Amino acid sequence: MSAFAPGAIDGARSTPRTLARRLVPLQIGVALQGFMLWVPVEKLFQTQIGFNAASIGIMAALYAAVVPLLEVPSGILADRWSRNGILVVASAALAASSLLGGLSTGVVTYVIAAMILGVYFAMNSGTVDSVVYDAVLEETGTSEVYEKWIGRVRMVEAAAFASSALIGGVLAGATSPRVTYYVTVPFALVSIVAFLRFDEPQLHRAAEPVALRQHVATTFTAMTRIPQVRQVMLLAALTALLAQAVFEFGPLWLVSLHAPAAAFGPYWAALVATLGVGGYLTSKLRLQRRGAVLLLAGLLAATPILLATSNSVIAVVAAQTALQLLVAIIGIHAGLLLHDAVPSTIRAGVSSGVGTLSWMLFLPFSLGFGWLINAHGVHWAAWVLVGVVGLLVVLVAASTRRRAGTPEPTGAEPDLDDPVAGTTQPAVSTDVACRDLVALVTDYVDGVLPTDWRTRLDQHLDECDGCSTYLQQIRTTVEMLAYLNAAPQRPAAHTDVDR
Amino acid sequence: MKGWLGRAVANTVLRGGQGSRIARWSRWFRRTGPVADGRFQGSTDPYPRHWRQFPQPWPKVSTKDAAAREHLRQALSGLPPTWRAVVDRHDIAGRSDTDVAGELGITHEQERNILTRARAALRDQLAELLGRGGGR
Repeated sequence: MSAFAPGAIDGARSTPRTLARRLVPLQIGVALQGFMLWVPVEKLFQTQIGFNAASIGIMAALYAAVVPLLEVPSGILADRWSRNGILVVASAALAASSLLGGLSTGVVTYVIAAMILGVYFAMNSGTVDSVVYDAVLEETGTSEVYEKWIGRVRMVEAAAFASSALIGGVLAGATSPRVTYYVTVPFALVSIVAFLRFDEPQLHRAAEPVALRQHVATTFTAMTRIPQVRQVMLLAALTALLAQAVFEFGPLWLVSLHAPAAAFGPYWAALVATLGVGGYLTSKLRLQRRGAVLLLAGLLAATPILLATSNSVIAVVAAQTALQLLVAIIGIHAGLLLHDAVPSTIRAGVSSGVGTLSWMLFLPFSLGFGWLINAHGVHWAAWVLVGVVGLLVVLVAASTRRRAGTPEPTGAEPDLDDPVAGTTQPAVSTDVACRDLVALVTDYVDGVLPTDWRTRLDQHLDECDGCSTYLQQIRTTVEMLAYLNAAPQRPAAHTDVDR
Repeated sequence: MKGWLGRAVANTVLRGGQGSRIARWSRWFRRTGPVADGRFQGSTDPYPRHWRQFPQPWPKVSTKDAAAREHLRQALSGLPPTWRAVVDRHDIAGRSDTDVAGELGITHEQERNILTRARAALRDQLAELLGRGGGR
């Protein structure tokens, strides 16, 4: 197995040309989808057609309720039907929503457009991640380069967001905000062509059904019974809530200060850029150090106070950008804490639990926050942000104290996490389990496993009937495959292999 | 209407820094090994990482068994093209790892990993035929 060869990590981490080529249409599609010119001037347009902060809050709440409801059926549809198909439906929904939004002259049609955008989001969420994951697995046999490629796809998406924000702001200034909606439609439609040209991975169709109920039960237990997990989950959900609040309501500060349309572009580009910059900074800052975390928390607490008191457009933009950046950094930190607090097998469930929790928190929050801005103005509402940020700071401080008091939990558990990938060297001190055997069985059967590992696998096989059966069946499979060549009376199966 | 962006943030957040395995949060990301995770006990079960249920033993089967061969061919054609290419060259044509990896433009490690997954997938397919009552 690769794990034993020197340079194995590099070997598993290099990207074959087939994979790079295969992912090109997907990246083009994602870029075209991300080219939404109306996004930076949306709040401006909404106020022009009769929205106030309260109705914006209601719209956001409706949206927060609809998306999670649609996510489950879209996931099932993607598994049963086609994920390219799902991405095409998402693009069509985006085009329809932009068109209807642009045609809107009142609140009701615009809210309907927002619901259609909810379809786009529910369809898209997680689908791109999963096709990238499966494409990587199909071309390399490991998930090692997944992080790299999903990072690249996200970078393309972020670049599309940022450039469309700048262009959208200029376009709205030169013409009108309404035009930005119409111009977005062709980009969304062309993305359909790109997705149809993507060679969709077929792996998910072969996936075995998991014992879903049992999995949900384990996840739920971890989420509710372990106080440490509860606390970190709340931290992660609060960061998501804050980020969402700034994106949804932040532009209202600029609207209330009568900022020109062209200012919305750079403003929005700066907000979106924090997503990428935050990730980069987190990798540079050593957030394990308590001092660094507390410094960030202090800075974080200062930003909403500026939002509550300042009347300068530049100060407001700077404060929101700083807030968004700090939230992104702390959010990533929270993700890592969650990673440490939860066993690997149920991490996926817990993280999607965090997603649901943040939607659930956002729903009443957006109603209340919208009403507050409407009734008392943005400065007054900013004190609510001060409160939320304060709670966040307390949670961050609590998490560092606990972290400082306990020995580093990392390192012990992930050793045997993914022996298949060939990156994590299995810990020598740990006994071989069945899950490791199925990963090492190829090298065992082919006789290329190092002696000490061979001995340990033999020891395990002596005691485990299940693994002995499995080994025998892999041997039978390999023998039958070899015999397929020896009797080529039906060569059809061979000739189409290279297609 | 920008709730989705907030959600994108949440996802970015959960994706975490480098090396975070939370990246695979999506409901689709179940395959971390060559055999589905669900077939092994979880960390809260009595024997984590061991079989939840042993694989069903197969009856003795000859390599000349027509039904099994046909089934295997079918299974082979259902594999992703790169996997099929590896199995075809390595296990069917009997060529070396280095040869196969070089020809397909992948690394030796990737070729071995693909082989592990492909063989496991083919075994699963044969198990549907040979295991009693479609048992795995």
